[in-house]
Amino acid sequence: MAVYLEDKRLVKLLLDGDERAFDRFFEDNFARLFRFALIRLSDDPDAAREVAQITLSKAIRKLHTYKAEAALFTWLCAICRNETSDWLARQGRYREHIVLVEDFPDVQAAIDSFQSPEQLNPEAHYKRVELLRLIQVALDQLPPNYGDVLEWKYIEGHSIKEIAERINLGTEATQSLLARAKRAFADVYSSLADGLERHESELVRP
Amino acid sequence: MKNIDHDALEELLRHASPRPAPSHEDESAVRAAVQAEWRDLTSARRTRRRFLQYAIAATVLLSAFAALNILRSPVVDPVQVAMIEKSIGPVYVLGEEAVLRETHDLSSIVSGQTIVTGEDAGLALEWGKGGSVRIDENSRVKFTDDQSVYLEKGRVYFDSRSSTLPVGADDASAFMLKTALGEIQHVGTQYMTEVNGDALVVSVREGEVVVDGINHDQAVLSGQQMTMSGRQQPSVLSIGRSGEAWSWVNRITPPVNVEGRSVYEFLVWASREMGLELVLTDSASSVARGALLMGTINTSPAEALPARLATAAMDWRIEEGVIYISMHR
Repeated sequence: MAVYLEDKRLVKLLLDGDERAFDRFFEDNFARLFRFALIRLSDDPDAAREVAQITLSKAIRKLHTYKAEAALFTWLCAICRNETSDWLARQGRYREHIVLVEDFPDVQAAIDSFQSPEQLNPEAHYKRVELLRLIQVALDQLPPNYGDVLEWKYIEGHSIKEIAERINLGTEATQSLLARAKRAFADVYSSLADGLERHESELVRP
Repeated sequence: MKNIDHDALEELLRHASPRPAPSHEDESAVRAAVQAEWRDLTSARRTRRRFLQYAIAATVLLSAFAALNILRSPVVDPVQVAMIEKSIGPVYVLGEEAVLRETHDLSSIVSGQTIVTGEDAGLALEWGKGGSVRIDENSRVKFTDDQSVYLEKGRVYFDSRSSTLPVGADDASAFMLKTALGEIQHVGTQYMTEVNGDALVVSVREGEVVVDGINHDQAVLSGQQMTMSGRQQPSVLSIGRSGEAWSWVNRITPPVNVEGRSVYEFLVWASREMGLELVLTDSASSVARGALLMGTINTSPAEALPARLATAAMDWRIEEGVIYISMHR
């Protein structure tokens, strides 16, 4: 069984009252949890903020139970999923449980179709939108600094020099970080897109 | 989507929109609320810990008083922590001034003892909680309790699986190697640790270990060697899983009972002891699983291989970390 040593160490520091550990814990996870909740709460930012806050507060109280058998963010997402359901129930906004592609444990897909979209019929349009959304999901599943540098470089168009200054690293180290981030993104995105493909084929199976 | 090439990946990312982010006001407000909760929690934990420390201190004082004035005898008996499986050369138990015999007879080590090995010496132990411990020449190791040892100088090798046939699953639930420079915790593994002056060197053959150093923490993976010295950042280099660096470990491989065990089980054990990947031809695999061995192996795996394989009409060769087994032509 994998042990997430870095996360385990962070939690130990948090329990010991280390202020820098708290800063890292919050900065690494709040925005990602906010987005995790946002998609499950019909893009309601106030609700997403509230659920992300409840999740972090609950996680703080349960930190001593974290066994590092899953990544810390995965553990937080499990709490957030429950809090989202509870929040919807409290608001009287019960609805069918939302099942997103990234919520499936097994996940097959086609970047090629994304790269050269055919004439956009409704089905192809849905798939394109979903594949684009999965990019954001994949970025959030990476270590926070990986997701950030990829977004800054390819989505916001910053230069390596600008990114290097922003994260206080040399340009070579930044390029190396970017290369590692790209490899990690390819793995995560492939899994998610594969899952979308598999799910769709299951839905159309007679 | 099995392989996204470099250009396609960049193109894909350029199609995406920036991820939505909470406003700075929201972020500050949530941070303040969660931080307040965290501080309450850690403060309560500190209070509880302080109370516990006072309680422990009081208990220790009371126990000491009771021990000195009432019982007038020690209340904690040493516990057996390991069995000696093989001893080579001069090996001493510090404090008792006793010399361990250079023999294969089993004797045990109890908590509180310090083992000192001399020139050309070596010791193989079966760890009480499971696993195999080996101590190189010119080493000094204190057996603090049944969960940890303290390496003062020299080299110690630890395998989380006992050196027996058949090779089983990890069975060492508790073994912590402590040094003046840091503590090493295994995550199911074969590794060696060397304390050389002010340098701590940890080499991992299989699995993973975590080094909790005085100045730095470092995870060390299979095929890596980490050196930690003073405040410098640990350096991590690649190291072969077999070869000269590990030869002392094989020199003190404990005797292993192979009675009624198959040649295949012997090969799995021997290749693991030598840090080699095992590859058999189909015919050799079939014969190795059917042929049974007798007796006990008292030599190193490399010395045992030719004799044991000759009886099964098999050939072997080692190339680049792999041992190949085939039928004799």
